[in-house]
Amino acid sequence: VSTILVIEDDTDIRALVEAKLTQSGHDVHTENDGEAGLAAVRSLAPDLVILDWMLPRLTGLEVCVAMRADDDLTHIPVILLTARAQEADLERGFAAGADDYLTKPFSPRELATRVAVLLDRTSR
Amino acid sequence: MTVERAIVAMSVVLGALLVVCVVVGVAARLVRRLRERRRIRSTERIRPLVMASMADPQHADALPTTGRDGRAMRALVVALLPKLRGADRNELASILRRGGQFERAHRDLRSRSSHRRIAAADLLGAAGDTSADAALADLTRDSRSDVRVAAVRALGRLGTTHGAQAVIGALSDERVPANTCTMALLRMGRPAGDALLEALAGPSGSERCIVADLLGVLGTHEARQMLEDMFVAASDPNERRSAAMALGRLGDPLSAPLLIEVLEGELARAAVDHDVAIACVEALGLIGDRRAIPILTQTLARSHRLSFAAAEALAPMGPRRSRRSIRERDDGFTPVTAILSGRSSRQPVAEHEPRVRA
Repeated sequence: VSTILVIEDDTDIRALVEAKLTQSGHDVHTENDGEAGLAAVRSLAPDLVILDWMLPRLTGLEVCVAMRADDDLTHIPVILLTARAQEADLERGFAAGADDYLTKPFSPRELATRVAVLLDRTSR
Repeated sequence: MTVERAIVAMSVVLGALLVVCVVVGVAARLVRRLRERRRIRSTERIRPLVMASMADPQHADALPTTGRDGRAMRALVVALLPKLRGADRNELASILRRGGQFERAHRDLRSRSSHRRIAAADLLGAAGDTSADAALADLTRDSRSDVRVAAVRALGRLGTTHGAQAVIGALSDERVPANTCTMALLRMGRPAGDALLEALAGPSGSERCIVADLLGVLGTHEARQMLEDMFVAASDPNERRSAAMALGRLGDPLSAPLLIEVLEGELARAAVDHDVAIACVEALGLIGDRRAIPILTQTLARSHRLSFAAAEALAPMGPRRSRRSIRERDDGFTPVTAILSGRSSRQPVAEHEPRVRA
């Protein structure tokens, strides 16, 4: 069982991702803003973080940059789940340290597959 | 004495009316708050059921379809559908279908209640039920503007040719915001392109401008000849500008000679139409045809706005030749140096808009 932290301010999407990943057998925790999300990353040390870009208090990108700057958190894989679908946004997301990038509207099944692949890759 | 009594009576009546108004206002607010709380509670109760139904369709039978919970379920699903794609989206739509919600929504499109008509349009649009396009097209002429807007939005999600024609018709409707129509048409993509081609020959100039803009953004290449004709024949500078920009967005090099010819003609005139000339320059920049380099280089020496646009157009056009053209013309003039140094030129244009160099 992997611990996954979902940081997303849209209640519906948060509940949906939580349900989908719980169904896949993961232990899922959720937060709805960037600041609380970063604190949860520090306290939980999850195996993977799913991060929205446009978050209150701290943006997803800022959370990602903060994680990559912290020696204890830099290894945690991050999937950015965002409505920002421009090529330049994708570049910014990866430059901030995201491991994968998924745009909304999204397929929860695809997200679950990407999570499985990323977890498998990092556990090796 | 009688007058005094009348004044007192009037004051009492007015005071009582004021108190009644305040009480009614507070009560209405309380009722609204109570309803909202109930709606939130209902949604919180339904959400896990909807999530469980998506994971296992057998749970869908437990979903409420009527009453407050039924409304909450429909609102939740309608909110979720546009956020999803793929099999989970289809599963969510089929939950609605199995629960008889589509039939109900089709009926509600003709309901006397405008709230129901709006909710039905939202549901059928979000679920992508293309069989509703004719009924939704009728709703674009509803007596209430909020219903018209909901219908246009829903048609944008359905993406049918019939729906596109209805949305284009709504472009001339003052009660539907133009951006709602344009967003709907952009969302439709290809089906909108076919209907837009027909509308390009429509009677309204402002509508033709929007249609030309949309054809360019959608990349409808079949529109090239019509847009070129519009660019040459239109007397309204707005139409010419829209046509030129659309040609630029299409990016077809076949349009470059015409744009070059018109730009040359504009530059030769004593009173240059800056808007049309700039549209030509920007379009040539978007097309990126190297045959435009000489005229764009020549344009660098014109007014501040024109030279800025020309520098912007030239900058990405070629690694060496166009940059050399800009540098040859660069006599310390801000826009050119700004572009060569890689800074965005958009801001300085706005700041120095009134400054025109002869």
